[in-house]
Amino acid sequence: MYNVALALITLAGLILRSVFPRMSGLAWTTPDFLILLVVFNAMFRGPVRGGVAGFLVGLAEDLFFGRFIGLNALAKCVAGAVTGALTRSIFKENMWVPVINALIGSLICLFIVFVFGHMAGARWYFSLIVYQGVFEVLLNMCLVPFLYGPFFHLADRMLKLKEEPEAGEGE
Amino acid sequence: MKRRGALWASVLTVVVILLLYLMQRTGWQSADMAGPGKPLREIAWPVQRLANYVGGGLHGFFGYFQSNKLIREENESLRESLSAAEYWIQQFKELQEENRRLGALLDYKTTHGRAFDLVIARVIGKDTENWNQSVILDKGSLSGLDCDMAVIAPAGMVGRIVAVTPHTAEVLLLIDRESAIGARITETRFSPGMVSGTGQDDLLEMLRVDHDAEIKPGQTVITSGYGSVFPQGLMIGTVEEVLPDSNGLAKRAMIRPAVDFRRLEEVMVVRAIWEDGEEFPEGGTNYSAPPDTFLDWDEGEG
Repeated sequence: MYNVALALITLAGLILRSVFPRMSGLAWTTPDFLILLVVFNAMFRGPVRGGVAGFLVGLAEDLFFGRFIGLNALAKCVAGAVTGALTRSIFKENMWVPVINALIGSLICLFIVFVFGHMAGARWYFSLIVYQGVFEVLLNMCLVPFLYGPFFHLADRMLKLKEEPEAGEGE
Repeated sequence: MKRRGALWASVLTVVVILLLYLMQRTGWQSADMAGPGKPLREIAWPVQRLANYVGGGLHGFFGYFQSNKLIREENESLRESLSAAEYWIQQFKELQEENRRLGALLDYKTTHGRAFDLVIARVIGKDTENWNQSVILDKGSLSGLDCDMAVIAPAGMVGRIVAVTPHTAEVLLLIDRESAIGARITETRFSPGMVSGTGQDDLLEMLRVDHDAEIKPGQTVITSGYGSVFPQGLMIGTVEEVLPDSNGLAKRAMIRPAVDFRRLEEVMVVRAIWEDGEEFPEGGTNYSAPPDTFLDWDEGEG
């Protein structure tokens, strides 16, 4: 059930990302809702499941946008695994944890997309990546306080976190 | 355990290499855009279209208020700019008009410079009591002005100085009832009498004209030069109407002054009159004018 919810949220995130510029009037950059999903999921499910979920979510994103397939899959996989490992035994109710995790996950994602994108033949200017990337990371962090709460309740209800506070790798 | 780690590392390396290969195959160089992702796009497009429609509507709805605020601010800013522009246009017109007037004064001074010793002065005030028709000039005895000097404008006679201070001079205008000046009809060279003011801005009166004098509307009235206060030949106005006097023995002529007394801003004071044959002194006059008397106007002050 939780995985189905993740899939639906992924689809919603993809659609939202594609229409966000028109909704918000911000033509220059959009927040990456999916990296937030990957980070939140990794916080509750640990590095391996977080990495796998990140890979699938990133792959869906690659398939949806149709270019450089595997790039976001790899980036989000690593971001999920790292943030999952970092927050394995951290008190997740503290709002600063997801905010800092979102920052770390977004930066990892940005770095991998830039490096592997170049290796795959993309001609992105470094200044553009930095300019767009900085705004994207800031937007992601700003969205955390609004999105983490609903996700926390969803995960709490579906994964029964109170009974299994350290749910993750050992399962 | 070590072998398991090595196995994982090998698998990850292979996966990364495969992903890199896939990325390159699906980069900008690939011909088929979104080939593998077509089914996912097909699933998403109705929702995407709906979300886009709703999103566009929301943006338009909130954008209306935002635009309204922006338009109001822009409107306010434009109003301020317009006010500033109107102010500067007004200033420009004022300067243009002043330039025209000063140009006329300069022309007059150039033309009559051999006949009169002229000082240009600006009208800085009017009589505050309303009993007299007089104006205050911004030059006085320090500029060589004195009582009974004639004051003229390019159009004609203005009046005479009746009081001076070091920096100001009061001019009794021709239209004042106390003012009187010897006049002559240009067309007939006849000097029928004195012209005096009526107290109105736009009307003078020639009193006690002989009943058989040749005077009729349209004739030009100039100064006669009698009395030695006013130079002769200066324009006073034109005859507007000729009326019989109350006793029936004489008649009086109403004269439209050549000068518009409601719009007096700069005038010229005649400090000296050079008679025919008299040598025009270098520098214009025996009076030793302070440096600001002529130069400030001639060099374009104001």
